[in-house]
Amino acid sequence: MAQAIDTTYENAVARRRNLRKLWLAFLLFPAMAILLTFVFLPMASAVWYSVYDWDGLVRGEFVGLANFQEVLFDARNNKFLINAFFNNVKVFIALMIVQNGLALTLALLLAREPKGYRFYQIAFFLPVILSTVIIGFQWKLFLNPIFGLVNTLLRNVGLGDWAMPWLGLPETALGSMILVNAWHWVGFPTLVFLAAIHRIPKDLIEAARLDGASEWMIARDIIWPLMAPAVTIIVVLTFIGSFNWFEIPYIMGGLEGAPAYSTDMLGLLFYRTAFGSVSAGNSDFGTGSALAVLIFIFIFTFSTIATRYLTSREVELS
Amino acid sequence: MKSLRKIASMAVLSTATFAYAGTALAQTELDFWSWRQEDVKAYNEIIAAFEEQNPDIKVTFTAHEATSYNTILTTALAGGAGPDIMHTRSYGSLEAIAAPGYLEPLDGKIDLSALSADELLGTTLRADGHVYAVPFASQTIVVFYNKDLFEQHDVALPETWDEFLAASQKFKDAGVIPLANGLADAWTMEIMSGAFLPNFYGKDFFGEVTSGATDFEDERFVNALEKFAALKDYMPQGYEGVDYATMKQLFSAGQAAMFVGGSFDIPTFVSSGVNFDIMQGPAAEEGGPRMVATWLDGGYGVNAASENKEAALKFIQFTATQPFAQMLTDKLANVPAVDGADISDPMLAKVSDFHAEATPYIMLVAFRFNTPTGSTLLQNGLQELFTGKKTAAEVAADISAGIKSAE
Repeated sequence: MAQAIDTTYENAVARRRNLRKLWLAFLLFPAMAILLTFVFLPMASAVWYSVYDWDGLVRGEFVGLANFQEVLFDARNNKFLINAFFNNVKVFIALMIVQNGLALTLALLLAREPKGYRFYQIAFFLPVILSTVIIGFQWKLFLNPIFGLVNTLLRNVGLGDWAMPWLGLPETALGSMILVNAWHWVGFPTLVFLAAIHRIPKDLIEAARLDGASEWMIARDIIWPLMAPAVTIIVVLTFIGSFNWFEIPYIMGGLEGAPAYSTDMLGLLFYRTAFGSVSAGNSDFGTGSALAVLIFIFIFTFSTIATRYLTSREVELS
Repeated sequence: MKSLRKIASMAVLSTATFAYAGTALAQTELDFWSWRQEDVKAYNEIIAAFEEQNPDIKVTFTAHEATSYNTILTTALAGGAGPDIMHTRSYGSLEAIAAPGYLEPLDGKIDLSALSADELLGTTLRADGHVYAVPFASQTIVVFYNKDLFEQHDVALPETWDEFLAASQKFKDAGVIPLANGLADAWTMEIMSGAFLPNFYGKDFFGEVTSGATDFEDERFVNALEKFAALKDYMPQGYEGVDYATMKQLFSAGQAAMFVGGSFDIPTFVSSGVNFDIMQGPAAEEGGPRMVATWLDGGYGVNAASENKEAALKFIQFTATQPFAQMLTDKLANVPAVDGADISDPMLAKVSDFHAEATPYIMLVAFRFNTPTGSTLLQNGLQELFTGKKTAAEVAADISAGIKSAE
């Protein structure tokens, strides 16, 4: 008898557990459906497209890995790929130094809550909420060699020799775009770093100060190790952002990475290959998809490795 | 209850009226797609003229956003949909929709006698030699000049290359920008080259390079590039960063004496109010030809999968006639591809006169079929040439190698 009750009880528990699972599945369904339709399905279709030959929008026969071979090893394509890839690398390094370095400096300064720091906090963050398209066009106007604000200012302060066609010279175009991007985004890492610094218990820093540590020592030995999780996030996001960089170079340099491919990016190369352009010819979904798959694999692999490595170095606050 | 009955009887009555109207007209409805958003009003007027003669056909004109038109059209066609009639681009871009069989071949079905062989080349598929669209208008590269500035600085209109350089120098010395053109938008460099290169490489080069008798490392082409590069001294300060919008602004504002552009730029300068006229690019030497580079802008094609093919062909036939060409030039300020139109606009009449000595706009007409396109190669080569990164011979070698590698 006692056993019978036990089984009924167990059955009831099992039924309830099943119901709960069903209920959870039901709750997850909308999110999963959206994720499947708009994230995984397009990704899978890119892989699917990349193994076929395409004549414009008409799918041809199955060609296996031929498209990948064409992207990676065909001398006509891979010189663009190599050029674009190294431009992306330059962007990543430059943004790490300029954008994130500046953000860290600003965060350290703001953390000491100088007079009017609320105002600065908002001022630094303001460009982040502006649309990238607007910023691209606005800076394109600022950098106009003839009417632009930048050159006019330089001429007015007696630095007329420095006035340059910033976006027109292969030597300065990419650098100018990187600075524009840094101007646009610097507020975001600043805010993340600042939040991380605020999480550090004040008494830790005060104790160090009482022990006679200099501000530099406090920043290097206490704040920096303790804000490691924030650094991980920012490094990985900067990495992904740099290799997916598209809007600013597209708006300011055009689809061909003008001048003379000096601002060409993997994203622009992908767009040109897959969708074609008026001058660059017709669309080719096969090689375009192959390129997209390769970019995805690269970013995914490296950001995973970077996250693992950086996380393992993080010093957790107890 | 009473009102309900009233509504019901009204519904019956109106249905009957519609049914009656339907049988009375029995119209075939045609969809007509285009990228010419700025021309909607004029096209509706042209269509009204067609419908007057053909009351059994109704044409609906839809203009899509220009830069994504090719994608919209090809996607629709690939999906078995799309319009009955469509504006097509020419040359390589036409091939993208004609080669997979989306367009109805027109030769034999349409009287194309009012069109020249050169014009038809732009809408003929190279693979099978059939014509897939009726060409509509050509574009021409010309040199715009500011009449007031030429008068004010007492500069004679240059006819030869040397005179062109001398005139430019004179403007430069007077503090006027001689040429408004810049490098930032690569396609405008290709346009600019169309006014100068042909007169240096001569009449025969196009035929020889397209037939494979010579390549782009030909001495004539290298020499042309070398000469052309001399113009960088007469472009605006910081020309490397001057884009299309800035160029037009410089010329419209009277800050630059000349601007090399297409006949499609004429309406912009007319509305800007600048006192301008147009001329051909200079001859290489005295007595030499002053050719203008021209190309066919596009055509009108019929969807091979259209259910109203007969009516669609009727409309397409209409676009190949003189009355249509007349409306095209009167209402849209185009130089029509179809012969026999009387061009009333003085500026357009001038462009049309220039066609007496015309040369194909080389990269668009002959080398935009494969990747890399001649246009991409030339545009980037010119940016390298004008920023001093490469010499004329190196640029020519790159173009030649790129064209040969194109699949």
